[in-house]
Amino acid sequence: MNDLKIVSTQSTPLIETDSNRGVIYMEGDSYPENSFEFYSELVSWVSHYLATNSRPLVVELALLYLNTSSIKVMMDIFDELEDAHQSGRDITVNWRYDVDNERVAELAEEFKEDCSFAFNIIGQP
Amino acid sequence: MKPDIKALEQKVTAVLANTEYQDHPLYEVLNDLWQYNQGQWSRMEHMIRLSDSYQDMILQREKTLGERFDKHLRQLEKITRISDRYQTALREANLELEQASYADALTGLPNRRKMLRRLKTEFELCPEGIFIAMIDIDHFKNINDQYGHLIGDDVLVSVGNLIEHTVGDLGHISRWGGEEFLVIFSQAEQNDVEQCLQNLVKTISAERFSNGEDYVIRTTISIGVSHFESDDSIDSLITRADSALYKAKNSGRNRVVAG
Repeated sequence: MNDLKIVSTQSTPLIETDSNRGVIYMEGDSYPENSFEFYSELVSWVSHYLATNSRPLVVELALLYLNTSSIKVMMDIFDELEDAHQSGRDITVNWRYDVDNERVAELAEEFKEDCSFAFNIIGQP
Repeated sequence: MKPDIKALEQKVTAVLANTEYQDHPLYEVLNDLWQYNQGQWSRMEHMIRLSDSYQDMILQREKTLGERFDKHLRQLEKITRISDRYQTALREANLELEQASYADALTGLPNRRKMLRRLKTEFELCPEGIFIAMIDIDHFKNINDQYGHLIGDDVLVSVGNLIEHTVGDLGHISRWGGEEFLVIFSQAEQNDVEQCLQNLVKTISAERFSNGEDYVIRTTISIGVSHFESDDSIDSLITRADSALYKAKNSGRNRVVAG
């Protein structure tokens, strides 16, 4: 399974996946010109990972600003993770944020609301 | 009377099963009719099954559509909430930036940009009532050279505060640049303006600027003032105040000169 290693730009986050360890890592701002196109690889990776094995998946996030279409994509991904979790998959999301930036925590809370898997919002000094 | 189909069926099958009737001329007709009837029954059953499965499919599709609709509605509500929050944050950040862009970082007084806006507004509203006072701290460079820039900055802030306090509601002060302040009087009588500026010169020269232990600094200010004349523009008003300030400087400082 091909892993992703997308470097960050001013308007797009860093995205890395590790299918052996079952980890997705994302960091930075997200306001691409076309979010659905930008995230298509990640969306495919998640679907493929969930379809081809039953191992746990950990999502490590340090996202700051998301534009509306990025929020929609992340919601779709979280919905897919929730379905997988309902079918017995071990899913964990760790969303780290700077304690000086409470807005990020509020954003993460919105996503957490619809998830029954472990969703940790971790403030860092 | 409701026909007893079961009894009729039994009767027919009994007749068809009885070998005695096989040569009867109606036997074959009855048999054909019976086979035809059986065929119709099985077709009917098939159609009922088809119809049931079709209804199941529609119900299932409606359920799926309903679920998708609910999901999209939930996402939309959430996105709207997040978007609203972003907009509020953006609005607040804009207001903060706007305020910061109009304030002088050192003294906290309105800066040159803010004063230019005010001048423009006042000029459009009622130019005839405008007085402009250009105020400069005398020999400020000496204070910086002798005591250092940090103490020089403290003196600058204190002078600014004193001017603001002394002018009060009569006019509006701004830090124009360096050690220069510009005060605009828009609705004041000439006597009040002159009195106020003379007070300012006296107040500053009487003040002892000190941090309480290390130093005591005395200084003075020079003021050039201009009053609107016909054909004046904002620029010409400022230029005349500047020229008057220059005269005040050249005639011994610590004074007000009208231009």
